[in-house]
Amino acid sequence: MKLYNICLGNIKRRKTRMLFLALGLIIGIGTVVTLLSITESMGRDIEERLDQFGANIVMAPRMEHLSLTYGGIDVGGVNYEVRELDQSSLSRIHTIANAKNLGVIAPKILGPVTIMDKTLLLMGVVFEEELALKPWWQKTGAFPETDNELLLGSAAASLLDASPGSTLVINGQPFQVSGVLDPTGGSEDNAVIAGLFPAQKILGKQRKISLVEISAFCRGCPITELTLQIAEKFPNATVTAMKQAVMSKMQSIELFKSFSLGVSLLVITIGALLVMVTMMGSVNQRTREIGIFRAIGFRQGHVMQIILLEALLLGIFGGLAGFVLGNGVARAVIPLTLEGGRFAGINWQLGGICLLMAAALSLLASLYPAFKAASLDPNQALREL
Amino acid sequence: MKPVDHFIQVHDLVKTYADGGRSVNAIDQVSLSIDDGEFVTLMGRSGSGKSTLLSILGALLRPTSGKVVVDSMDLYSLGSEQRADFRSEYVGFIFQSFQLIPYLTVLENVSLPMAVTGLKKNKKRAMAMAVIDRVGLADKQDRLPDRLSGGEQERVAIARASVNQPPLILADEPTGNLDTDTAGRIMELLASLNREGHTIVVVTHNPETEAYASRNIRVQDGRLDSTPTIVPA
Repeated sequence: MKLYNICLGNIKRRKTRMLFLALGLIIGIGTVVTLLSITESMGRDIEERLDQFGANIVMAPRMEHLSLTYGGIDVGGVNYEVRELDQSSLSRIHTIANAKNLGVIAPKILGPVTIMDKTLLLMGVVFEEELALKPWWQKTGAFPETDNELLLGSAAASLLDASPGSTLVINGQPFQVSGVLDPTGGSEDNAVIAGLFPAQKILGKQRKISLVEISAFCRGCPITELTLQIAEKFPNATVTAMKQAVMSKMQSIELFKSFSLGVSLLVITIGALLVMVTMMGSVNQRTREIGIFRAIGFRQGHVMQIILLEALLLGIFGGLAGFVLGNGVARAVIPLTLEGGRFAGINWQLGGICLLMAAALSLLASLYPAFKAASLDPNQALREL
Repeated sequence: MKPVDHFIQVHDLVKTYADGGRSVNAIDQVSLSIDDGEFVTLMGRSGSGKSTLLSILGALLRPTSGKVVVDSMDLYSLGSEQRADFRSEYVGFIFQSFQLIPYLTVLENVSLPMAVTGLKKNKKRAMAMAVIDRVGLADKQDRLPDRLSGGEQERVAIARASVNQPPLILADEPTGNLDTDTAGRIMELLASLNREGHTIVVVTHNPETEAYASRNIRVQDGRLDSTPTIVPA
């Protein structure tokens, strides 16, 4: 018989009471794990979406005096007299060390065209790649399917007073407007968008490329490293990582993470108070037992050891149960709260922290009740029989 | 067990309680000696002060004034933790209504006083099993208290009080909740412990228990009733 046998006997044979005692911790730790798991899953989900949709690297010809702005991102320089990359050289991009991290590669040709006496920007794209890169594009009508069709940016359509079904003549060649983009706030609002090949032909820039937008799957690979690898293969090009977009998205996640941590702290504090109150109640209910312990020769330290050991065991149990519960809830809730969201997986490091935190909180919250129990006058305690 | 002479000496003991603004002497100028190996009963009506006297003898309740010396130790000059050590080493308590720990088995309840001793696990178990066997509960060692009869619970309480081989066993109304036959068996058990050398002090209001004692002391209104009666052996 050791002191821990008393704790184990109490826990083993008073399961319901012990479960109630641990409830504060289970709920507290469960909430923390749920919130942090959701945050982690959100972060991962946003990262994956960022990787899959939208460019995070832009490659443009190296310029010395001209600046080029596209999509609000300064990519080095373009105007209507830009130098171009050779389209056939693009295949070199697949020879970089991290080629497996490359996703969509969307080449473009840019140049001025005159339509109905108005000068506009013509952008030639490979629609299949472009639409994969920009799934947020909404349109009236349809996306072009043949070389004789084109897409108009919203501002360009207004300027030309054109709508889906209209015919526009460019350099004497008729094109049918298959669709008009909804305003995006980007450069495409002002552009006439055609297939890459017909645009090259109109602009007289066959086999030339003004700009390449690249989306890379960058979980686990630093985007700057990819940028450097691409730049090595294209010494005449400027390769820029669009960090700004990534950083702003990550900042949102960090904000949510801070919010989650704040809520977690609050929940944990409430959980600790709950443990203290229930532990206090437990000590009051056990006055008789404590009186018996003291009467048969247990020192105050022995009584404290019993209470604190129970608190430690409850803390470990509460931490484990809370961690399991939190992961279970997160797994169930994430698909409901995040469209297409997936549970990021069990974070064992978080599990270890939760376990330590629950044990420490349980011990801290039980210090005063344990001290109170140890200070009970044995005769007084026995008189409460 | 360590042989001790003039085991307990009580001098001018007073215990005063506050009762609705006035003080009441639960124990009033009591002096008493109990020798090693005696079997003493403290008889008296409810409220006479006998349980208070027992608590003071067991180092559980500090008197208002007076002195209690056990085995040359002035109990109330000791600190709280030293008195706990004294109880662990010298005293076995048998409480009214048994007072077993409900979530511990018979074996665990009996072993409880040894939880704070440095004895080896096997030694503890052997000592606990020996006293459980002695009180006739060897086949019920794994039962929880609520699965035992009143007499069995009392026997567990006696086993727990004697497992550490304390020189002094203090019992508060040990037969109060038992039928006559069971009460007789319990008193026999206490008498056999006394024969082995334990000093026993029993608080009771049951006159039938007097027959087992070597000395009966009557307590009335916090005082000992004249000269203590010596029962011839």
